[in-house]
Amino acid sequence: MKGKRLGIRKHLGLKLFKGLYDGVVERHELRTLFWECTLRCNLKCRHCGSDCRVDVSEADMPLEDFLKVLDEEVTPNVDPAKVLIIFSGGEVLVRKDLEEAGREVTKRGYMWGMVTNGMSLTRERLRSLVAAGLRTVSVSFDGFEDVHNYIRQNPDSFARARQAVANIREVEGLTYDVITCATPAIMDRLEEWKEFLISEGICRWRIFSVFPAGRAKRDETLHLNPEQFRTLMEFIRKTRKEGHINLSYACEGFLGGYETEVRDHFYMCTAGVTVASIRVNGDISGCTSVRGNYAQGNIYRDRFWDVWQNRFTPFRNREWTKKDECADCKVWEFCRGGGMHLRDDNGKLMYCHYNFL
Amino acid sequence: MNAKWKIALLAMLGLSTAACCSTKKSKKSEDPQPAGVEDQMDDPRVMLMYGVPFPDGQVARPVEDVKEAGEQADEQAARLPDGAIAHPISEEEAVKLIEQLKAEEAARAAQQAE
Repeated sequence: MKGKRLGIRKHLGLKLFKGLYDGVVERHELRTLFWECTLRCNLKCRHCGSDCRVDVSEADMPLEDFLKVLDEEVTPNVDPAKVLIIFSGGEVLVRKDLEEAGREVTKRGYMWGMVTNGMSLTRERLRSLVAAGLRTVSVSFDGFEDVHNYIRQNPDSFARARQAVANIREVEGLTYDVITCATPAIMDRLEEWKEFLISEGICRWRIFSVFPAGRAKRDETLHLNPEQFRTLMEFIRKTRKEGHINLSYACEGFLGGYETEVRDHFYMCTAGVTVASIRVNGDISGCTSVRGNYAQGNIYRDRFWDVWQNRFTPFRNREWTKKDECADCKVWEFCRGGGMHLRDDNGKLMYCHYNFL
Repeated sequence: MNAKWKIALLAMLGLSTAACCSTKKSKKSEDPQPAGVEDQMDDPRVMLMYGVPFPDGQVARPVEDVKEAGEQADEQAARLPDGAIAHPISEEEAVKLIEQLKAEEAARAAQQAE
């Protein structure tokens, strides 16, 4: 329980940060805009939060629809240099017009990046994306061959992801990291996996753990037990102290005494506060990991900027989350009911990281 | 208590970086400050679960292209009789060089006159 408990210093820090966070909410400056440009995917990962499929009924969003929102709603109201656009999926590389999309957003002064499983990130494709202004990329890399291929359900997926990372490292100035989904299968080999990543020349690494949504909901082979979760937190803390690789736990949830030890910043869910997404069907929401029914509008019906400025109340005022197990929780003031992606359609909390510690 | 006080107190607790991040001011034509010279405290960039790291500030280029650019510059360089390589210089550098040569010549002429 040592790691979970908040010391006086952090308690005071969180009290101060609470006020700063209120300011961030009040300002709600748009800093990250996800464009879920496709739900198509070339893999069928066991833990996929989006539950995407190879053949989807939801068609890709036409590029011109996204650009129309950018030109008419976003660009007139923001400094493009301060907004990062993230192309998200599905697997973004299945879109043939990704380079064109990249060139168009670059032309408008935005930086852009993408998350990929690396399956089709060949040197040639990467170079054409870099030429189209790609500035930052994240590659999913879940563990050694057996672990990665099991999760990704494809015998070539590890080799392809490894090659993709090697290709990325050949590009000077391209910001990148690798993302590992921590599952029970990798827990006993975390040290070994870390050494492998360092030996591959990777300097930035992010870990997340599975939360019960999409396909992962019913697959027990993906879920860490409380002891494994604590071990993971201790591992991240130790690795950060060593300083050989820049490791962080993803934004996920409030972590008590591990706050600032396993991430660079205090916990806060920025979905709908500084982060918006335009989903493949035009829905306007917080970040793409929010799977519950929290769409605040739709680009085909509503004005994006009006929605961003005047809606998003459930994201910005979290008083409504003070129910069930959160009702009397002593750390609610710091976590405000956890990440929006951890709430189901009825607002019920599906998973509490703090209680799990 | 305003944000600056809170950040100062967080700094005293050794937690300032957890609450904000230092960013460079972007250049605007009407901005009298040169680009990237003034640090300012900004809201922290949260590393989102399905997100990407915020770009480091450089424009990305394949390493081979970077090398090629270097090689092209070398090709433009002229080899001097003593074997040294003369690289092309800018107009500004050329003006400075001419001024330097003129000054040296004037000094030599003055010496001879003495």
